[in-house]
Amino acid sequence: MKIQQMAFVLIALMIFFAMVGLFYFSIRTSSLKEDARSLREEEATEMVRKIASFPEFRWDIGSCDNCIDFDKALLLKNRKVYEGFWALDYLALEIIYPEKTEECSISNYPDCGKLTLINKGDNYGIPSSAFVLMCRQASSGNGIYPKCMIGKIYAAGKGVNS
Amino acid sequence: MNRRGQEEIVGFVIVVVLVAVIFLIFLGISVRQENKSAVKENKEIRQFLSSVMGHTSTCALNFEPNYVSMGGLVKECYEHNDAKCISGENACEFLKKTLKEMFKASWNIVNGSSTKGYIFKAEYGKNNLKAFIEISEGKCGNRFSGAEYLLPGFSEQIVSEFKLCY
Repeated sequence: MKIQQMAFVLIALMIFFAMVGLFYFSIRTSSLKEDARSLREEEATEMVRKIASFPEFRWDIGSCDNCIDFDKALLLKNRKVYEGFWALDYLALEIIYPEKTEECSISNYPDCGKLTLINKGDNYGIPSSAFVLMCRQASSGNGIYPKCMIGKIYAAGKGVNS
Repeated sequence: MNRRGQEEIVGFVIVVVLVAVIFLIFLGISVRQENKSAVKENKEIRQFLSSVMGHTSTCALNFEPNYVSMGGLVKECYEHNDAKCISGENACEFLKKTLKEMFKASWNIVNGSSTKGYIFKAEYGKNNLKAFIEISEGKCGNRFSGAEYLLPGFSEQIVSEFKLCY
């Protein structure tokens, strides 16, 4: 009888500690999911930023890892040989400041703010983005000088989206 | 016999209460430790700061078209706070005005958005940092996400810090 009573108490204690443990681990894993999500977002942003270092986009004046040659990128827009070159559904460059909303073309460059290079129009979700510098050769009355403006690169496709 | 059963139940309840108290203390300590590091280093904001500092301003200090970058203007503002652009405008005032416009264009800080405001500081020094530029907007509580950017200064490093408030 005494052994039975002891056994019941022990079983009750074990069930109680198991419930406490479950409660604790459910709190810990909920914060782990949030950490995993933000890590995936950071990876996607880093991959998008690496596009700026592709030879087709890289600004070759000075040493600048996050600088895109906007003049080169505009020429890429009209080159059919680069269609399908990158496994992306959407790729666009945008100058954030100074704010300009027109889509860039040969006729309105450089008085424009957005350059869409790839837009397959499919359901690619929300593109990942990264802050970069959009650089070009600008001219003033006294000569030509390199001008870099803060911008964003947007990309969506296999391996980029989180 | 009944008394034995009651004694065992009382003992069990005491164990349950003790474990519950210890668990709550442990949970409280771990939650408080997470709150201490309320400023989370954010890669996106670090990229943003790096791009801001590389942005070519429309202020030339010596001659045109030798326009200074925003990082160069921060440095100039620290070394000579009375420096002037060729247009006649004070370089520090021009820098603050341009930074505000850039922050407004880059981050959606409106009523109802998850981002409640921002704080930007440029500081110099080794141990006790002193701010020489401070710009802020919106309402900031206890939750931040931010990053720092270092610029070499005259005798000390210049630290530019940008924090988004949630």
